[in-house]
Amino acid sequence: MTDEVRQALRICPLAVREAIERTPLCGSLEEVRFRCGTSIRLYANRKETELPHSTVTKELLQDILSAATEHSVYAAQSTIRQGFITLAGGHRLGLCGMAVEKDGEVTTLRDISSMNLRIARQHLGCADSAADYLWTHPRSALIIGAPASGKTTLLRDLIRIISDRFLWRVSVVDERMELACCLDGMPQLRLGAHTDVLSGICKQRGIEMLLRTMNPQWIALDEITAEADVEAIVRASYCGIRFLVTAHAVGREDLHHRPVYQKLMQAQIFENLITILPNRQVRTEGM
Amino acid sequence: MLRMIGAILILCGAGGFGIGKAVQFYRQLHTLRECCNALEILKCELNYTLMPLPRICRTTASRVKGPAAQFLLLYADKLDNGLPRTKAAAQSLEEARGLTLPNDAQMALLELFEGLGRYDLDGENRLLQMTMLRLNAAVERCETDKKPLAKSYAALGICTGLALVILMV
Repeated sequence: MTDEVRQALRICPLAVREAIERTPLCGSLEEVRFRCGTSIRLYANRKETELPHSTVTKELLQDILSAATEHSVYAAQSTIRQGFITLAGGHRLGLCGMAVEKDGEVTTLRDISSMNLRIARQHLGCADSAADYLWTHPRSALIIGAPASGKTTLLRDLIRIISDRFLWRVSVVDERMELACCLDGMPQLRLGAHTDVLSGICKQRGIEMLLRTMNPQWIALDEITAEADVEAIVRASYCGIRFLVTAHAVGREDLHHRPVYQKLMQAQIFENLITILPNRQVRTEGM
Repeated sequence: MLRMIGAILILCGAGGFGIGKAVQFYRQLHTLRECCNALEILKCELNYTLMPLPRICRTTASRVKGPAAQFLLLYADKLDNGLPRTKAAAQSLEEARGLTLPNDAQMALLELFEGLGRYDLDGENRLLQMTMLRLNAAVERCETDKKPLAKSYAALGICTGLALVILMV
């Protein structure tokens, strides 16, 4: 069993942990799904299998939630209302349940009905070809791919390579604490010696702060989803900053169809497109 | 000579018992004040850093002294070891050496640490505020009701010792 899996499974009760550890899939585990009233499902090597003799109960989900928040709901409330909790090591626990709304905004989730534990891995070297391309075309790059195709993993490795190998100053806005996974100020995953990480802040504000304080050559962001983020990128690009950004899109056409990215395309900030193909190969090209 | 030694022993024994009772009371009052102090620090840390409970307890423990600090460290360890809040709070209260508190204060602490971490920041603040009010009331009660009693214990112990010495010598 790998260290990542062991670390992610720490939020599960001992009996569940031991049962998962006994399965042959354990080493290559990508996701563990808990749905109330059904058995635990393990996802590895693109296959979903059932954990034998396991039933997900309300109490089990409560225990996992309690461990995931380190017994401190208040500390994870901002992400719980968005439906996830980031764990030490960058692993992510997705949540589903009954949303509690106040003044039109979700304040929390109660009666949790299902959870998805996604195990984060650092694949050192997976962005080698993309980094080589960036060295010859040092302009802002957009990384696209389908959900769960490995965009965050690729971005993380790209940041590490351009920081360590090319000695470029990179600043990271790690809104969901998935890229560096800082714990007590120490990044849990390698992002390079010339990288500064601003964690837990919305991208728009993070970009403004980094511009003012860290004098970056590159700013890296994971998952652009809001128009405010796009506006902040456009503003910062006028200062000569280059961006490394990931976005949910299967291909170039898909990107042009999404309203939130249209403004980004019109501004012509990105000159490089890095696409993660369905077979997890990386394709690099000009915009 | 032997009578003299006997008289001194009796005086020391009885006086020591009375003074011991008084010291016990002052220690209780001191621990209560340390607990109030710890809760103030815990509240500030919680609102300012939003760190998870075990880490906040450890930070607070490093800034207070005595049994209150020991209780917080034990509680943090037990939470980290996967114990539920209720058990962690009860066991830590039992195991913290020297944490002698009046019953009402002990109940207030137990209820606080059983519930802390379950709510949003507003809820946590309210819970802490309520407990601080209860602890402050316990401090006041100690000062008004028990302080004269402690002085009486010390005086009574010495007087009893003297009376015994006079009677026996």
